[in-house]
Amino acid sequence: MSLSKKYKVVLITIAIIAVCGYYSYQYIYQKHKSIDDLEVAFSGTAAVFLDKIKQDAIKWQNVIVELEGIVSSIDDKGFVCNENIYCQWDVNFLNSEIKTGQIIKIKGRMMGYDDLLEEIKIDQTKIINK
Amino acid sequence: MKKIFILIMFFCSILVSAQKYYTKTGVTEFKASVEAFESVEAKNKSTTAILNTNTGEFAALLFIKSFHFDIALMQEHFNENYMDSDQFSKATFKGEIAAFNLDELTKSDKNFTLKGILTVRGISKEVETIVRLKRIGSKIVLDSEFNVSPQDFNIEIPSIVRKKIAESIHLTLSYELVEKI
Repeated sequence: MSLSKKYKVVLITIAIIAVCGYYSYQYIYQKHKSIDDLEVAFSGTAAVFLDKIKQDAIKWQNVIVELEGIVSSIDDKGFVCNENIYCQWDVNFLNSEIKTGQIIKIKGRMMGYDDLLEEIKIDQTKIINK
Repeated sequence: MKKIFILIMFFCSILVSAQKYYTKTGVTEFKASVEAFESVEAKNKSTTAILNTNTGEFAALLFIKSFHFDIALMQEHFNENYMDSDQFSKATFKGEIAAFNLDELTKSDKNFTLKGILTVRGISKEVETIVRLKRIGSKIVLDSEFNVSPQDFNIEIPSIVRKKIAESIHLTLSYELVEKI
């Protein structure tokens, strides 16, 4: 049974609209990029990173970093690493058990330099073990 | 005698220096939604805020890129097209809470007037609003809201989306301050 020409045109048009609709939906409602999808801009010790920030703070804004440092103090939303780096937990790591003085390896997004408290701020912090 | 004097001075200096309350994870929200369109709102959960309880001086700082939208694409457009957040990464506020007195704070909200300069995209504007302050345990809880307009900060909104973004942007602040040791 062959379909009428008009029917075919309607069918193809509907198919095109559906495909376009699907892709535009995917584009508009795309997911947030996780820090694991992005390139790591710095990997090393917190002390070396602090030196780099002192040289050029602007270069290191909004980049993904992997740091190894010492836990200086802890609050309910994050902790301070090497006295000058505040790491705010990723939601999945909120109740991580850490102790002051502990050596920790983390991955997070460097937000920038906070002039008010004179410290570096990192969010989406995860503990990594390598 | 001299030693006692030095000791007294030492304790006084501790008392004076321990008069700051702060947070590193304050919540700042904005809403620019228009009814019948996709909601335009975002939350920043990493706002730094400091209150000097001796003088009532108040300062806050946030990173524009830390505003989280439900829709990732909206967040991208916000940063790239509207806020130029690569160039202007921070928004800051510096001001004073008038007639602030730590001893007047109780468990229930008390209104104070906050006046100061809000700087967004490198442009400063004077802001005056009411803040609600209360004391819960050792924390000072600060809540406030006020409106700003995108034109105040030279934020251009293309005519194609003009109807989808409110003329006046509603900001909500919610900061739980703890004593700075």
